[in-house]
Amino acid sequence: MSGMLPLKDLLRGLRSGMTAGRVAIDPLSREFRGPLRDVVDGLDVIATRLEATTSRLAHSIFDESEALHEGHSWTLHALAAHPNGPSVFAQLAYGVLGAAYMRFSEQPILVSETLAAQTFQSAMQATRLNRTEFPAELLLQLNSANVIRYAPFALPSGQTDQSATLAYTAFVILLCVDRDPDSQDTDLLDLCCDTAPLIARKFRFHPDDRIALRTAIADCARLI
Amino acid sequence: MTLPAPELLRAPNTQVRRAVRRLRWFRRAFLEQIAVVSENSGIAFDVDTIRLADAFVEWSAAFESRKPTAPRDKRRFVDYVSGLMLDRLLRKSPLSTRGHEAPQDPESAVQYWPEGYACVVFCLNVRAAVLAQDFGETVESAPRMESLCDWTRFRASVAERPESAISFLQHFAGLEPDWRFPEVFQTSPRQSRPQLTLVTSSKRHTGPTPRRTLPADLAMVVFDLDTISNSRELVAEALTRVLGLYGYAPTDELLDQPLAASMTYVALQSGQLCPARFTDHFRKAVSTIFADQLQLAPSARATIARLARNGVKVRIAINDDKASLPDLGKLLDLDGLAELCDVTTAEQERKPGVASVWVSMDRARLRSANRCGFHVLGIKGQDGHMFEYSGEFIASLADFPFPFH
Repeated sequence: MSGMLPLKDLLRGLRSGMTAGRVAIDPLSREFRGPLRDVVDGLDVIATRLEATTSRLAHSIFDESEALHEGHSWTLHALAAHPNGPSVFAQLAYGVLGAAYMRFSEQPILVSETLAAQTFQSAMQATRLNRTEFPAELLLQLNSANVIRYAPFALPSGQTDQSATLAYTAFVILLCVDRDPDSQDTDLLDLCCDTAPLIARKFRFHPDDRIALRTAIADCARLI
Repeated sequence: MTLPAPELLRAPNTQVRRAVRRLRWFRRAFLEQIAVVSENSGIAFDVDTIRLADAFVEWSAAFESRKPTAPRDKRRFVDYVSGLMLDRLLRKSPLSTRGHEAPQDPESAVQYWPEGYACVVFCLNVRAAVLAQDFGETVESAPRMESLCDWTRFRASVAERPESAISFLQHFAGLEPDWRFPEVFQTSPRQSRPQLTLVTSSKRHTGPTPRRTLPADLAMVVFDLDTISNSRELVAEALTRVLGLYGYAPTDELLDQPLAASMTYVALQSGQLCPARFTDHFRKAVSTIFADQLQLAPSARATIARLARNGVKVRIAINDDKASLPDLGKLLDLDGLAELCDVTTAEQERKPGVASVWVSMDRARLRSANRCGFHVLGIKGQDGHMFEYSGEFIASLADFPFPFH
């Protein structure tokens, strides 16, 4: 796992916090007078600078990271065989889970790449003897690790919400779907989001039934 | 009456029969169809794509479980499965109109029930496209769509019995549906004549004259299932069907190898793990096909009966793991063979201990049986199987060299 991942998560968290903080004090800066007004203005300036700095830093790290090449569609099979599989998976998780979550909820979130990479490694380890279990194991671990966290301060959710479960499910299905030259990943993700509730229904009723989960994921991926 | 169809359904390079089994195409085609209906009628629709996916997945499962095995049923299945699609769409109701209120006296089906009309049009257009591409039929897409009385009956009927949508779609298409049991797809009765003959009579006396050297004290004969039935063809059909689900076609090599070879083939072709359900799909397909179509080769019953009458123990061996999936003992029982012989495997028959013969179309199995102490007898298949075999062989079971009169 890349050592940059925790730093990326940290910078994203800071940037998100700065933005939220500035929005929060904006009404105050109009209402307060005198020295208090100066303090608020000063905080606003500090927040703006810090946000700009973290943003620049974050971008410099992200640009150097393992590029998600345009036109390259990753599958779980390919990720499992790739030497940097966990890091690539983490980057995919950041983009795809964010987009998928927005299909189901408007709440702002942060996706932890560190947790995503750890989850990938852990699921690989758990299924080293039987890779057919990998998609189901990964889905269960993504869900229990709370890889999706809630902005602005990226606190872990008290209880995994249904939208996050649906986003994890759509993500895992996407990585199991075979691609053809005409299919765009964004279209496929949309289809995966459509089928995710069908799997989540089983998931809710049979959380420990890995065989049912594995079968449901494989069926959905095959039909998409 | 000609129905408005989207461009996607007319695309010459798309095989609709295959494409419609993938959600990515199904959803696009459905959305385009709704856009066309909306444009023609002036009615705006909202589509719940999650419900649409639900309808599609349920339809696919029903399609898979009811797909007929016999080629003679495939044309009628298109009519049936189009109705099934309508049934699932109406049950899940992915469509809703935006700001449309049905007029007091509607003048058309689309005004009376826009959601139902749009789904019917889509299913009829898919049906028409498949019939044109796969069966060369140009069908009028909806000869009976205009009667509002029919539409009133249709709407009331599906509210009470959703499965009646299957019959109504066939009615709209100008067919005579089964109104009582719409969900049942009746396959054509099984033909009494064998469809497949393993041995060509014209080849019966070609090639070298068979030697007749079976031991006089013959006590047991083991027939490979392929030599007495059409099992090889049925396994091929099952494999073709299941690989087709994944978008691949079988090769000759896969037919002669264990099922794991086909799974490896899928994995290599797709670059992904072969779905774990592959085995389940195959098991289901082979069981259905064997139950419906397993037939004895000509002379098989007479040959086995004559051996049994003369006190020779007869066994039927399964050729490979693919044919072992159905309950063969049960199937053979239906054909009255179970009382004459047992089902066995090559592993169970090592070192027979009595004068025994193994009959097979497979050279490797004959060599292996020979090493285990069996006399071996090759049998020549229609496709030239065994042609290069230098040992003892016969052209068909009718030539079986009984060592007794």
